[in-house]
Amino acid sequence: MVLEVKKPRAMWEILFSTHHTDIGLLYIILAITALMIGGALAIAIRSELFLPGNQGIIPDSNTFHRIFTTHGTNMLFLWLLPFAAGVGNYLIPIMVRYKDMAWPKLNATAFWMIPPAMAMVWLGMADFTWYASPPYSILKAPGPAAEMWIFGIKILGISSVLGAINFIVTILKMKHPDLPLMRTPLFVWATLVTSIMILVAIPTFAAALIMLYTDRLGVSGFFNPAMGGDPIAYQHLFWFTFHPEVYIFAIPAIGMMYELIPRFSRKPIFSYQSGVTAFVLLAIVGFASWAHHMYSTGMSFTEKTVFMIGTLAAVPASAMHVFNWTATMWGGRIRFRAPMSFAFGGLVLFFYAGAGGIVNTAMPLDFLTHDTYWVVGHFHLFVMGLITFAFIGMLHYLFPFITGRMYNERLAMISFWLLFAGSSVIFLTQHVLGLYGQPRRTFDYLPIEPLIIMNQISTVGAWINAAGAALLIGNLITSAIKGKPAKMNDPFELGEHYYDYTRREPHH
Amino acid sequence: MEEHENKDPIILTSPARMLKGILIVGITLAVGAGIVLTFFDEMYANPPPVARIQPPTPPPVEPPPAQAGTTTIAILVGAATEGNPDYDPDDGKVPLGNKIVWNNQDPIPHTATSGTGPDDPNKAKLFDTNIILGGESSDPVELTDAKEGDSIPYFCTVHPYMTSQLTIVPAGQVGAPPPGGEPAGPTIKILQGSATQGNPDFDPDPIKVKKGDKINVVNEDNTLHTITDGTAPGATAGKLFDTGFLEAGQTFSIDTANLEPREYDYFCQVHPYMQGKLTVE
Repeated sequence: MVLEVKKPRAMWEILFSTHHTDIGLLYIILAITALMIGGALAIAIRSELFLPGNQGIIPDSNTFHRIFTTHGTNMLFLWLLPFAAGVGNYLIPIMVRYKDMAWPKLNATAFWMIPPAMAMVWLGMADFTWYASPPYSILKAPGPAAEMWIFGIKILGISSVLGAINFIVTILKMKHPDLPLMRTPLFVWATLVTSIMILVAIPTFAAALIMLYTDRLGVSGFFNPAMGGDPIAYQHLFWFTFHPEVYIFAIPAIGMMYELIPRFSRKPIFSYQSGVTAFVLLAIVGFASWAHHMYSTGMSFTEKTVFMIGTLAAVPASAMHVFNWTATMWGGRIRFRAPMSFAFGGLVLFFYAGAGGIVNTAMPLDFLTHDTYWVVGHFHLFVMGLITFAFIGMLHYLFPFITGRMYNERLAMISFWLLFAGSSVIFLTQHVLGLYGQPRRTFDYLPIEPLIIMNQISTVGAWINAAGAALLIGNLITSAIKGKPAKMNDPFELGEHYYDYTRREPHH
Repeated sequence: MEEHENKDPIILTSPARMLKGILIVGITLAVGAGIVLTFFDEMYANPPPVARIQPPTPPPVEPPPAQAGTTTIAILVGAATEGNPDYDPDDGKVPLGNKIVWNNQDPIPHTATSGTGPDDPNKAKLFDTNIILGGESSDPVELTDAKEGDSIPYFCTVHPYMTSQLTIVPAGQVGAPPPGGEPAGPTIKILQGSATQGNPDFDPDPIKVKKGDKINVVNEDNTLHTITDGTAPGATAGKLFDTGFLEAGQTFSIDTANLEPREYDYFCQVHPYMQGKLTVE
């Protein structure tokens, strides 16, 4: 094998490449860009809520709605999904010992569908929340923002499905014949399970989006009560896709934790089989719990009980992962470098998120917390606490592989502590805020002392997070150009093989 | 796995190259931001096409002339929205032997189906109009086994929160003014908004009654209340008199025949800050 490329290729070659690491790099750059601009919106939201009334940061409540809708849509579909796909692109072909993804051009197509979709979501800035729930979204939500959102999400859905097909075929068909599936790293299992879930879950919402659009046109009335339709039907279709989607976001992050924790604990995984079992279990029970988002829509007691049990069934599977990580770390010679710190911080916040989730699951308690800031705090502990922390940990771990250099460890640890402290302060406080009854998605709140104080604590947490994120991105950029060249065989000195860096460059 | 000792050069990024990359991302973002800021209001200007289509308003429906032996119950416009008034009259008095016709004035389909709701095992046993389209009337419903004084709940299968009932009254009584009006005797009203601490709660407060009077209690608020003797929830509360939970609009009669002539404190068990005084003479 001759390595032809000795100096950096021209940038357009990378932009239009079909090589898996180039597409992985594009995915990761797009995802981090989305994280930063979506995070800026979050800071605007929290700063506006520093005091009741209008602070002038966001001019009016309509704009506020447009901002948090774009924030939510962006973070879920342009940060979490693309980042997981990016790391998958980098690692899956290496882990299954194949030269590239199964269909490189399809892979590039799946990526290049995202920027136009991102443009539609961002240029329109719809206002109907990331649920787009009817009847508001069909009868009132102003266009063309709403139409742009619908088509943007439609394109993202197709991109996800194409990516998922590619991952499934790469893992199952292109895997080296000497490598049994039960010997592949757990990240491969995570990607496989996630991809299968995408194939099962997305079509439902894809149909619902078309129905939403024709309802807006007035040619159908699926969700339009004035035409005999049922808005609750949309919620069922929506959550049938997007409750499993929660696991689609989370499972790649869990897979990354399985990469990080054993290596930095310098111990083998405590139980590989239970990790696989828990992934498969999560994928199945993920489809049995969607209506727990809808307890307050007037379902019968029987329905609610079924979905409560379905939701609780996910608890053992999640707990198996947490137990597995803890048992792996137990007695290990842990090196708390930045990747491990982020993974461990993610584990802690995951535990809080799960504990809050059990409260939401219990339907009598859910009626108290429904649509309050409790829910905001709860799901942010998942998407920020578990998933984003695991992703950022993985980003640091991949940093030498991507750039050939080491990041600045001290700055990375400071940004970890800022992000960990900030996230805990923001989201744990928001749970209490919810118990005080502050509704979510509001521009203003009652000027009473407990609400003001807790909103201010939460906002200060957001500013801490902003500092952490700025430090993080600054560290990554400066280290990419000035960092110490990494020892590519074992950059973290863990006594383990690192990913083969020659795979970064295509050698055709 | 074989030991892989790489002799290949590690390709590193130069500052110029990184700057180029940042410029590509940055210029794209700046152009996007420019478009967002320029067209921010235009992107949010058009109501959805469906909002421009006028919903077909059915021609105003004249209720069909009341025939002898037929009672007409209207389904009001807007009844499909939960909380709106639905059937009119809501507690329909039907003279024994009359047929009943539901007249749907709402543009949306409705039904009138006997039973308390979709979960009622006996639903639709007595009658079911099936779907009545907007502007149409149901076929006349005959209640064959009904007896005087029967109360038959019914609901709309399309919108199960639309519930109502029929009361069978003696033939010929229809149209008579409902008995009562202002109930006789002393009355304690639980005022609207009294659930909020600091609002006026009981009216009149204090109240003086003669021993043997029956006190009418009317809950005019839209939530649960009680009138219970005592000042705070506890073992002794409610020993002498207690209305139990009164739902919105519900009434109760307190008999003072067994109360000794003296002053009594009372309160609401749901909202213990609602306190009142009652004197029996």
